[in-house]
Amino acid sequence: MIEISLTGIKTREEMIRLLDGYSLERKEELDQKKTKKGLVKSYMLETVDGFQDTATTLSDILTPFAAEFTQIDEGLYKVLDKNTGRYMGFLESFWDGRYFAFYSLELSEIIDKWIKNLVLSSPQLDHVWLSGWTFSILWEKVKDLSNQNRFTRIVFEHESIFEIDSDIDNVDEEDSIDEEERPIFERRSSKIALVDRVRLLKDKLNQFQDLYSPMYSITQLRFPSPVAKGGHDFFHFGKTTNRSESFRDHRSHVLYVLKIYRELIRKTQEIAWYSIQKVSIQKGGEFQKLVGAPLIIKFKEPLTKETFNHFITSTFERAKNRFRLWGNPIRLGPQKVHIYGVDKHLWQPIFLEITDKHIVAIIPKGTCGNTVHRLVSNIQIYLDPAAEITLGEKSYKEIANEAAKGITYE
Amino acid sequence: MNNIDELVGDHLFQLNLILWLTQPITADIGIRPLLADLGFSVYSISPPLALPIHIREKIREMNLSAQDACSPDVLLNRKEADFFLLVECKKSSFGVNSTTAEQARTLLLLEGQVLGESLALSPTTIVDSAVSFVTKEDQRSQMQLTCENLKKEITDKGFKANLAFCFGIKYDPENSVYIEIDSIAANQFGLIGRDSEAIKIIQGQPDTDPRPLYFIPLDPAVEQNEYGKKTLEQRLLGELLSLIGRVKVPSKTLFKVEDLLEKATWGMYNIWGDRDARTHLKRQVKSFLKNKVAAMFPQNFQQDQDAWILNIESPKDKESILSAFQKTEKIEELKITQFDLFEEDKKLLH
Repeated sequence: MIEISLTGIKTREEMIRLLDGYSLERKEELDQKKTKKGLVKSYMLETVDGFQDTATTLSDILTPFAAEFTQIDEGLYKVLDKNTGRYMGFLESFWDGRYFAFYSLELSEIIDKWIKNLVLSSPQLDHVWLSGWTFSILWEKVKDLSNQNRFTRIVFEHESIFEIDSDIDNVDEEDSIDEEERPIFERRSSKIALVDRVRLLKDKLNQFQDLYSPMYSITQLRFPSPVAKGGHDFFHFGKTTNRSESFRDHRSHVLYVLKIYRELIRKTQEIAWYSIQKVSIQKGGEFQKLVGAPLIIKFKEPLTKETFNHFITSTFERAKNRFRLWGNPIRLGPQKVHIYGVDKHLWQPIFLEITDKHIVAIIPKGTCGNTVHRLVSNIQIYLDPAAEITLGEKSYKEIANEAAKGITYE
Repeated sequence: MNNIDELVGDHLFQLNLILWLTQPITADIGIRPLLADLGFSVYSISPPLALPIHIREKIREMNLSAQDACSPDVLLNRKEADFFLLVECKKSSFGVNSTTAEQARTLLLLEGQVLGESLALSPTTIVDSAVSFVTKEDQRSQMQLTCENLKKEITDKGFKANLAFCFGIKYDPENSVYIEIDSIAANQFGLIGRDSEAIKIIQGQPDTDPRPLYFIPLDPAVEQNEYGKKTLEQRLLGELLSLIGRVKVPSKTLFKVEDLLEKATWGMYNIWGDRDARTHLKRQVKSFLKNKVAAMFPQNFQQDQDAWILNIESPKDKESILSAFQKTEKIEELKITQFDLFEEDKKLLH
C-alpha cells in the first residue's frame, strides 16, 4: 500500500501532503495506543568531503548499491530498492549533497536494516553520529526551546562489552537474539529511559550523571514538538522518529540538528586535521608546516588489564568489530599499543595510541570529521561513558557548544 | 641491550618528540608539551635554508668551513617576538673538523636578519633567533663545548652568530623521559628557577616504550630503526586499503607507487634529499605490489609502466580483495626485522 502511495508522488508538495497526513494518522493511533503502521522516520546521513581522488555524485553513492533514485526537484529524490522494486522513501539533499535526510514510512525492522546495508556497502556514505556529549548540548537546546511543562524522553545506554572476552562484539547489532537464549555475561550494562516534564529534568540531569556515570552516555533524546503533543526522537546513529502530528515540524527539527552537526564537523576538521602543509614563499622554495591537533579521549578510570586486552583483541583481530577499525597493533608495553590503521566506515586512515588511561587519535587531513564523533559515541557506549574528550586545547563539549551557538530553529 | 638508552639517541625519536612538544595538548596523556607551553609552534619541517649571497661571499673570503645551505630538522617559531629556533637532532656530539661541524657553522650563521632574509621575511621585520641541538644528555656538555668553539671561530672572523643551546634527553628507571635545558636557554625561554633541573616531558610506565605516535615515519638521511620502518609499513598498508576501499564499482583506478609513498609520509617522501634511498624504497613497494598483491589478484592489479591499474568489476570482487588485504600484516619487501622492543608483550596479544 505504501509503495503505491509513493509511486504516485511527483512533487515536493505531494510528498509533504502525504507525510503530513500520514503523521497525523499515526499520531492519532499512537494516542489510542493502537499503531498499525510505521511512524515517519528520518535518517540523517553524510557523505565524505575532502575527496580528491573520487568525484562524488548521488549516483556514485547510491546506484552501485541496489538503490535507484528518481529526481523530484533540485534537492529531492524518490529512492527505489532495485532488488524488490519497492520505493523505500524520499531522500533530501542539503548543502550540495554533503548531508542527506532520508524520509521513510517503512517499519523500523525493515528500514533500519536497509539503511544500515546501504551505509555499509557505500564507502562514501555514513550515518550522522551524535555522541553522548553532543546530545548533552542538544539537551540544553531542548531546555531553552521547549515549554517547561512538556514531556521529553532521554535514553542512556552503556554496555561494557570489553570487560570480558566474548564473541558479542562479533555479532551484528541488528541480529536479534531471543532474550532467553542470550548467554549470561557479568559486566556493567545499563539502559535507562527517563520520561518526564522538561522542568523536572532540567536541573537533575547533571546530578544523575555525577552519581552514575553511564548517564553521560545519552543515546536518544526527544525534542517536544512546539505545534502539538508528541515530539521527535533523535537516536545516536542519526535516526529520528516522528512522534508528532506534523511532518513539516519533524523536518524542521531534523534540519536544525543537521545544521548543528554540520558546524560541529566543520570545527572538528578545522582543529583536528593533521597534515604537513606545503607553504610557498617567494624564494627558497616550499616550507612544510605541521598543522592539526590530536583528539584525546581520557578515561575517567584506567581500564583494567583484561578490559584493555579484550578491547585490543576484539577490535583489531576480528574483521567484524564494533568500531569498524583495521590495523595491526604495535605493542609498546603491557598496556600501550600504536595503530597506524584505517577507519573502515569510510576507508580513511587514522592513527591511534591506545593505553589503559587514554586514546590519542591523529586524524590525517582528508579523513572525515565524523570519524571523531563516531569514535567518541562508541567509546561512551561501549568503553567509558564519562571519558573526557579534548581536541587540541578545547574540550569536545566546548566545541559542540560553539557549533550549536548561532544555529537558529526555524 | 638497553632499548631506552638507544631510543633517546635515535634521530627519528628526537624529531618526533620535538614535534609532540609543540602540539596543543591540555589533557594529561603523559606528555608535557613544553615547547607549546613556551609559545612555540612548527614553522617548517626540514626547511632548506640558503645563506644570503653576501654571507656566502664572505665565508669564502674568510676561509670559513661552512655549507652554503642547510636544512635543520625543524624550524620553530615563537610568534609574539618573531623568535625562531633552528632545531637539529643529533645522536652524539661531533668534532669541529667534521662535516657536521660545517652544517653547524651554517646554522650558527643563520642569525637574526640573515635568517629573516633566508626565510624571505620583510626586511623591516626584526628577527631574533637561536640554534638548538638536541642530543642524549650524556653528550650535552661535549656538544656545548663544540658549539662554543664554533661560535668563537665564527665571531672571531667578523660574523654574527646565533645563540647556541643544547637540549639533553635522558630517562629514568621507570622509562620517563626528561629534557635538560642549559641555563642560557632556560633564561631566554623564561624558565626561571628550572635551569638546573631536568624537566619531565614523558611520564614513563614500567616495561613500556615511552615513544609517542610518529608524525614522520622515516628519514632516509639517518640511520633507520625498526619502529620507524614498521610505522611506514603500516601507513603504506593503510593507504592501499583506503584506496581499495574507496574505489567505485565498477572502475579502473590508476595509481603510482610514489603517490602511495607521498600519502604514507604526509608529503615528506618527495622532499627527502637522498634520491637513492627514495628509489630503493619505491622499488621495494613495487616489488610488494608485483609479488604479493598482483600475484594474488592478477585480474585486479595490472602494472602499467610506472603505475598500477586497480580494476574492480563487481562489489563481490571488491569485497574479496578487501577481505584478503585486511589479513596482511607486513610488507616483507621492506626488509623489516621483527620489532623487538619489549618482545615479551607481544605474547599478550596472542
